Amino acid sequence: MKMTFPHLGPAYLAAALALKELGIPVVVPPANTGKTLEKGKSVSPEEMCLPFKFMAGNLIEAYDMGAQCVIMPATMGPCRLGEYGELLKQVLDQAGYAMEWILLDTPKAIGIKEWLRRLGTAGRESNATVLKAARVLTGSVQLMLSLDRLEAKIKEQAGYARHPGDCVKMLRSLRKELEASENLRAAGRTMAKYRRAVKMLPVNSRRRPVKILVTGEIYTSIEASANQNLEEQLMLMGCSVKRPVNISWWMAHTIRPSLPVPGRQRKRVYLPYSIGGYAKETVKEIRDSEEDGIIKIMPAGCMPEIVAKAVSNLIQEKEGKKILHLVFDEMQAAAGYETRIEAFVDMLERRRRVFLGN
Amino acid sequence: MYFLGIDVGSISTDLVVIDEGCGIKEQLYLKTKGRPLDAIARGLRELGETFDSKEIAKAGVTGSGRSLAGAFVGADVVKNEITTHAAAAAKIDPQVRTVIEIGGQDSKLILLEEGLVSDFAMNTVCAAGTGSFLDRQAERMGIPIEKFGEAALRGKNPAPIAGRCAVFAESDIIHQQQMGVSEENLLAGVCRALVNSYLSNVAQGKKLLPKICFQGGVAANQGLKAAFEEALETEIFVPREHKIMGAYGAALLALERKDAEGTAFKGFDRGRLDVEIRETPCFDCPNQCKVVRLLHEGHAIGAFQDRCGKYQRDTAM
Amino acid sequence: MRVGVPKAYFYYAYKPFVESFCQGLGIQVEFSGDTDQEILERGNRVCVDEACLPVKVMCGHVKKLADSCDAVALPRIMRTEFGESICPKVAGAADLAAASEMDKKLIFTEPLYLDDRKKLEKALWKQCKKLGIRRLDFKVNFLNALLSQEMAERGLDEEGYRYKVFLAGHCYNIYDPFVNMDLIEKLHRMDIGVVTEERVTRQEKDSGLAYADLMKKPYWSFFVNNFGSMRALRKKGIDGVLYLSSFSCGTDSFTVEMLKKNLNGMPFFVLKLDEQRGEAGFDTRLEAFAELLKGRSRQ
Repeated sequence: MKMTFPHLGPAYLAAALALKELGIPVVVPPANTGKTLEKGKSVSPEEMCLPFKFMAGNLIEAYDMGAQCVIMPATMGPCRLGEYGELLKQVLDQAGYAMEWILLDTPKAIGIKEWLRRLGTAGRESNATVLKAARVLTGSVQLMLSLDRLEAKIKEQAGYARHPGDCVKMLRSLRKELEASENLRAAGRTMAKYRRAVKMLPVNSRRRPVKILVTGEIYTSIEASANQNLEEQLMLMGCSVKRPVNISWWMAHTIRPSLPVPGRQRKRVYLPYSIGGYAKETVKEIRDSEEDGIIKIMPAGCMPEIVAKAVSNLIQEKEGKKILHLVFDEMQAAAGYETRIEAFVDMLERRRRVFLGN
Repeated sequence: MYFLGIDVGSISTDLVVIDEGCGIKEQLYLKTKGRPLDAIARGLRELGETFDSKEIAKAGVTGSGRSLAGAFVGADVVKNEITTHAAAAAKIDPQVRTVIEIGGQDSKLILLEEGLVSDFAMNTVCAAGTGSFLDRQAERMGIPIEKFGEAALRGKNPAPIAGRCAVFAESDIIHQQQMGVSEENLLAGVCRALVNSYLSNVAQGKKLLPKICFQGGVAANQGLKAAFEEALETEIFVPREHKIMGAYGAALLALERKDAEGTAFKGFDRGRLDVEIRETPCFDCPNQCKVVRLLHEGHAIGAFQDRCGKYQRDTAM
Repeated sequence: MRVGVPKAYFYYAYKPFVESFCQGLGIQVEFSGDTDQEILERGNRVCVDEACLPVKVMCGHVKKLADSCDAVALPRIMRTEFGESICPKVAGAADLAAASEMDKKLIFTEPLYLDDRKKLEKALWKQCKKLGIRRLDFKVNFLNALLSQEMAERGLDEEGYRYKVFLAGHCYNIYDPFVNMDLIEKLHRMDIGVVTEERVTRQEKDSGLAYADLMKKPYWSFFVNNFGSMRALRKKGIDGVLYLSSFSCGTDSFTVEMLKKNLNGMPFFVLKLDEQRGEAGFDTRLEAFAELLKGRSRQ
């Protein structure tokens, strides 16, 4: 039974390697493109949010490549993401793409026992021992964590590099090489190679780049195709980019609540309660950011992020933060975004030139 | 030494030449009519009659067609409309804190602090808050767009029209017409709807501090100015140069670069070349850019939309 | 002290509780009145553009009250009495309204979990104490209010019309005649009576859901109420389902789609509401729905 999963940024790299090492046949859907979106749109209800349409497209493309079983993590709302699985199954079944489904809800919602059982269903065709499975899972999680760290480093470096384009190229070839890796160990070697390469990048130490925090809804943050390659655009403009929302961040936020360790948290002035999705976290990132500017992104109609947008307007007014809101939809009209991003970076640059006197 | 600014928009293409003291020497306001290249070429030919190519020290381009213009004429500065409009407004009157700009296909709000942009917004929803919507309604009612504002001013009881969506607004207008509402009141209603949609959809609760500057091709519309004044309860300033602010700003930004060496400007003679536009997909990397190249007698003379800049470098000479 | 209560959002679901609770607390209470064009326009002006119609209406009510009252009660409902959540924009209602410069005036913004009576009482008391309400008064009013909510016959189940449809959707759309442009009145004129989800018992909804072959337990009350009720009512012989939905409603984009796939051929129609209020188009669509019902009964 061939397994597949929808795309979420670089997660496919680790997931595919893990499944491969466990001897489970896997189909990685082709990377997100306009065509993926078209296919997804053809089966999706019009008002569903953008990530849903991309995911539906992924699964259709995977089905065409022979996938028979979908494995997908899920949450318990109240954001729509938690019900994605349900509706995806309905629309795909009716459109003639019937597959088996394994929904990995958070351990907190279904209990750790049920969670492990579902994980076991996913691994029923593997003849690996429990020990090996644990080792592979840990290995792939580690790969994910270190990849996120490395990518963050490269994105930060883009502002200081002599040629910002080098950083973009490096990010692309890093993913490409990881994609071609035979197993986790080879992937580890690739990582080491790139960690060295980052240090070797020619740097212009006199540069004082505009620093930008990218935050907002998780799918549009992680999946570059859903945000029109926002980060690459910023890097090519010579900005230093920070995006705290990545797979590691997501894993920490999904798994931590199910552990018995109570996290101590300060009560916040802005949006003190979790209202679903990651709106509370977005607001926290914005409030605490020390970057020159913040770009807050979300897909059109995203419920929690609409609340976050309202709150960040308040923060902008009271704390003087510079925030650009970008809302992405399936129209994919690039020109409007480009103008706004350019104008935003221009604004930050010019302000700094005048206020800092250089 | 002079500095050239070009603003290629959806409705008009504007060219401005300024001197080192920021004074406007020459300005052209041409209709784009869906053929931006022809409009730019015409503008270049006209300017070429007054100025010598060597007199242009630097050139700046802006507007939605800035990449095309940049590739065609050769520009030292390629800037977005927000930066250029802000620069122009701040130059014309340093007291300006708010810029309302309504163009053909989008509308913008720019907030200034000591001559610098501190915040901005662009419309995100649809054409309802833009100049093309006004054009279309004027055309539908058979009123020349120049007379629109005057007639709207005479409307004392503006008809209620939903402004957020152009399609809904139009069905509202048709409905009101069938109810026998007078043309003046209808036009005043359209102005009010546009202002309301601008305030709820572009301004979105941002504070519009005076002095407020209203610019863009639509700013000539008296009815709209009055509707803004009524809604904001403050006087609104429409600069004499309101139509060409983008181009003026581009020229100002070009002037800022005057100390740098050389120029990318390729001369007014470009306006006489027979140019063909060709879109070539490039498969050299996963970007798969749809590169647009400008060809003259089979030779590439300019290119854009290549993210890596490869094609632009090849034709830089 | 004058406290405003917006007549919007979940006021419509918990009206008996709210009204009974406010009586005799020793503070002045002002209700914001019915929604009108002015309220809508004010809400539209202060609210983030992407928000849906109910949010804008809510902001308009709050804004109106903020002018005349010392404080505005805008409860933050996290979970309904059956433990489901509503939607992020309801949980974040106070934050959405606060963003339009009314943050100082909002009260009752602590999370309310209606499925846990003790927690609910505690959260409400915390705020009432600050308002200087006596403990005894609070206790009596709270218990009375709970009782009123329980005893009240809510919702509609109309007899005596030729057709009967399940009017699905959200309480703040169904019971606000300004927002839905007198929908129920218009239906009556077409000889159509309605039944709403409040008249379907929880057990019926649950059993409706149980056989729906879902992969996971749904977590939205809107989904349980509308989807569960539809499946329960389907058996009782209704003529069709009319879904009143706000434009760009997040939960509806899911719920409506799931309903569509479980209709077994029953006539189904979605009416979208937004701040455009294009009444002519709305009426046309409504008439088309009535024709659909007629056409079916003739068969």
